[in-house]
Amino acid sequence: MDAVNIKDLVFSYDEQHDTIKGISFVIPKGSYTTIIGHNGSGKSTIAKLMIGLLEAKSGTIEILGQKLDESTVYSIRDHVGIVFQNPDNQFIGSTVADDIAFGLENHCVPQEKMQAIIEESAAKVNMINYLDSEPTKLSGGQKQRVAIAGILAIEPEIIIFDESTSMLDPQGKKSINEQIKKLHEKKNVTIISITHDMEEVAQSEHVIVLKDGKVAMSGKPMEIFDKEEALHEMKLDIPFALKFSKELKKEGIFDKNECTLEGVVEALCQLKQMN
Amino acid sequence: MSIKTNELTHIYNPGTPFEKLALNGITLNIPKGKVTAIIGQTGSGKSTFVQHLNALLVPTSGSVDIENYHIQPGTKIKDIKELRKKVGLVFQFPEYQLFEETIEKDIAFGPKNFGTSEEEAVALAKKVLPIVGLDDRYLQRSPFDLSGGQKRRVAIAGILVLEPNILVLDEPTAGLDPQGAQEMMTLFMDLNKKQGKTVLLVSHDMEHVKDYCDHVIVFDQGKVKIESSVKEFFQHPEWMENIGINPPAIIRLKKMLNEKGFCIPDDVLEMDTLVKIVKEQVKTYE
Repeated sequence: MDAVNIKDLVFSYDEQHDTIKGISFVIPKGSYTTIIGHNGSGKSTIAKLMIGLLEAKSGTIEILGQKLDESTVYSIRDHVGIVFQNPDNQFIGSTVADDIAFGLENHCVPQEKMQAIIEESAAKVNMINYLDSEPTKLSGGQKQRVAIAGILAIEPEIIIFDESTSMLDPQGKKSINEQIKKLHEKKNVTIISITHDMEEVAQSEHVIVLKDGKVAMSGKPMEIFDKEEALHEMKLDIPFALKFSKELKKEGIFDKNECTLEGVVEALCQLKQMN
Repeated sequence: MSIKTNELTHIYNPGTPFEKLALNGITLNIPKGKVTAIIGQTGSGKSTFVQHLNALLVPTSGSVDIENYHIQPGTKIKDIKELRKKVGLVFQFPEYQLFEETIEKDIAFGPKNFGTSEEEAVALAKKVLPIVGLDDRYLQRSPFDLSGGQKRRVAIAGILVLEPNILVLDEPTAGLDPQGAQEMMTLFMDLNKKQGKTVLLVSHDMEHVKDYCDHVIVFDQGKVKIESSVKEFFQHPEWMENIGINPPAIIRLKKMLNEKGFCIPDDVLEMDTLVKIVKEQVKTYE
């Protein structure tokens, strides 16, 4: 069963210009997929369509084998969590703890278990000292962490991150990315991450590239990065590790490319030992 | 003229249960005509600090001197209204602040607010739009029909139209695609190099800080922890670790290589130099 199966999806905000112009893709259950594309390519629109916040003009969306429509949208949302780019519009509770509790209540988590879950998920995003704070009084990055804690608490089967680390400082981003990875590896949660961070793309298993409301490419990170020119045309870039790797290849040191820093270091160590 | 702050302290909601010391005695001298990066973890006081630079916030104690303005506790906004023209503050996600029906009106709003005639304000809007990389055809369009990156350009045009001498940019590239981010940085660099504007950049993107900035100021828990030239700053990976900053990719790569027995000097900050050094070190035993 696939986590997401989208067929011939078309969507328009204004009935005149289609923002999503016939998109089809499959995201396997338990995979870590990144969706990339230039600003305005339709990434966030797709995310909103996947949780039924927007309604498609035509085409179908299946989530965990269930066709998304008016009658299934609420049961599907029980399984899909989303963290948006701008956390300001996502708060309901008057304190951080209340806000995390709200989601748990909606998922019928028994009262006696809640406190432990709230504390655990707040600790994961480094906000344990802010449980009694008012969400509106927090900084942009702190708000984003709370929104992420809210989702971590529920542990849905699919989590969509819509550029949700964009307001975080690098350390915060790193620790959130580690949390995402852990969820994916330990709990087999399907991760769909909309991102501009090519280092994150290199770490993912599957990449979907959107361009002007269509799927331009999809595949493993290295398959995508191989088409560097096409990426540049789409206003995208390749990660530093791959740029460095390509320089080493030009110099005749590497015979194949690596797209992560870990990969580059490992390959260099082998060369050093061989010589 | 540079920006000077003296023992600048800001306490939010003093005397209430929400009291919070956000800035704790900041004394700084930010040079004119340079690009200065302000970095630090979320909640370190960066945003509070920059809001003092055009008196959106007034110090609880201490003072700020910018251009010919002196801001101290009790300073009234009407006495320093013109300061807001001199210091252009671009917030995080400025596109959320667009509100007019057309882009022309949105950009013209600022000058009109400072007493420029309708006609002149519209002319200024027309003049500034190409600077942010959008052409005339956009003037009559609604800002809400644009993509995120384009909206941000319009919002920045709305600040540039006031011709500020100092530009304060809070995370100006957050959420932009890589090319959009690069174009935005090129725009700011042009404004600095060609028009001599002083640029303050609040950024989490260490690649941008390394590639574009002259100076770095690090905030930590409401205090200035480090003040340094960019070149010096990136030769001290341990400083970055101490303040929870993820260094640029090249510096992380150097560290990983050095841990595996390579020997790469601290002052290597460019890719081509690193390629040369690595090449020598893997071939040493041939």
